[in-house]
Amino acid sequence: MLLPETRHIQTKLGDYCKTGILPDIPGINKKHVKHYRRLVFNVVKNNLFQAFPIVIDVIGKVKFVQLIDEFFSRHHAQTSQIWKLPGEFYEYAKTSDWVEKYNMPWLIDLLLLEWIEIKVHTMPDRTAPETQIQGDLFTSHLVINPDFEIIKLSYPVHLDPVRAAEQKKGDYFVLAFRNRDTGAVRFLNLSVLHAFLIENMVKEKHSLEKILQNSIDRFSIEDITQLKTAIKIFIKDLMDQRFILGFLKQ
Amino acid sequence: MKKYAGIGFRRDIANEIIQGEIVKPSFIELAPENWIDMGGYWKKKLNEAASIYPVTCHGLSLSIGSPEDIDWEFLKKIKNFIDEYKVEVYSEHLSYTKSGNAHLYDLLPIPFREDALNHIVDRIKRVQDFLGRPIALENVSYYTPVAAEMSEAEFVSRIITESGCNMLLDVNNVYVNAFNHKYDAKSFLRKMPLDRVAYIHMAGHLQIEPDLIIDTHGEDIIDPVYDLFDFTTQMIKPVPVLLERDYNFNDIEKLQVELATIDRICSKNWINQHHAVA
Repeated sequence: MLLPETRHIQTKLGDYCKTGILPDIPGINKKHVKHYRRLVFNVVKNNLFQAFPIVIDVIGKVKFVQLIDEFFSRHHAQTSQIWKLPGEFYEYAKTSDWVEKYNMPWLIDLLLLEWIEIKVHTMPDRTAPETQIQGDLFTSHLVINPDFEIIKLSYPVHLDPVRAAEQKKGDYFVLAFRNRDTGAVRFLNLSVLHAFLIENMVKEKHSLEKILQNSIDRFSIEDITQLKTAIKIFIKDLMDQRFILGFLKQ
Repeated sequence: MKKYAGIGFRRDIANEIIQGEIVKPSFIELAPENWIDMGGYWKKKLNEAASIYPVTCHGLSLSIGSPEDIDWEFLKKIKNFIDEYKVEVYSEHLSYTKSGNAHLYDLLPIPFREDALNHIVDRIKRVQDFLGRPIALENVSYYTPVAAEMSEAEFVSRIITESGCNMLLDVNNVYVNAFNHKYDAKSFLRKMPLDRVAYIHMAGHLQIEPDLIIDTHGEDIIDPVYDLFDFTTQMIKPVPVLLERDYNFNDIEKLQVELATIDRICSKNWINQHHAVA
């Protein structure tokens, strides 16, 4: 059994690597122990630099390292897989005071946008039902590419530079999906109605016709013909981009 | 000439490894943490590589020397992964990477103490029982002793012997530690349970202070490390040998030169022995 003293020594060395504050540890080489802090911090820093290039471009490397330092010294990283650490960084940022402290209202949205790209690019493969080419857009069951996420943003950081996005607070929806052949992630700006349609197509597994009926009630739409025309263009675009894979094979 | 040398399957050189035209390893090594739960482009690349080469796994996050509890959920994923890819050797580090309920993502040195030794021996046995196979543990490089009450050689040797696990002998780490802690590398090697060596690592390093070398995995292997490898292979049975390179992939052909050098030394010393790698 590990003695409390040994446990305490090991924990102190671990804490030093997180915070950079060197405690008194018996028998250590004080000149060389600093390399552990440097190596540990560099691993984390390199990982987060790779994950958030746009955030770094906007706020600068010095500020970003400052955020990493705070995150790593205060947060207890739970994932054993470092490529998932950017997700923990994003979650930590949500609970931090960074937005107010540094006057960056768009920061959380921008972190989310970059994290979602990693998440969708790496997410485990999900199986999709077999498809066929023939079918009717409104009455047949459409098969959706299952490797996707829809996120909601308060600032359109996916459309505009952050200074411009800062002036346009609202509700924005973004679809991120992974091309099943190339593995590349694509982003699409969605209206509220589009986001509702996609989420219901996945959840309810109904035909578009039925989901549209629900949309009409939900969004108080009066011109159904115009709606159908617009939706048809939207769905065809999703098919061209391989987000909708085809019609369910009968 | 028989081939013994494998290479780490890194994303930077994944295509070159799959093509097998310039770099021609006899196997590939993966850090399972970097591939578990992953789909998409990289999963396809991994499957492609695994269909060509035998796979070994070298873990990063088991944290066998940690004061923290073993993460059994994580180990279950490791077990599934090594089963899925028919992994021949699963190795880990004799160090700890988790402390204070936080992952640290690098290898911290364990205090060379009796209680730590017993703690680790018990954990290795439990991990091996869970996996249903022996693991191989690596002698890690370290840059400072921590509250040591015995020598590194005694600590490593007794853990391997008393736990019944195999040893991943990292020859570069022996060189690095001998330099950093001023002992004789060959006499350290003679104290190791060499009959338990199931796997070898070779790598480059970087001297960053007059009295300190860091195990970087980013440089070419230097001649004294090859000499130590030659010395080592004369004392052990044939095992797979990994060329560890994590970055600096500018000159791919030089990697093949290093693989060939490793193979040449192995063949010289193991010519009449049974080849352990498929």
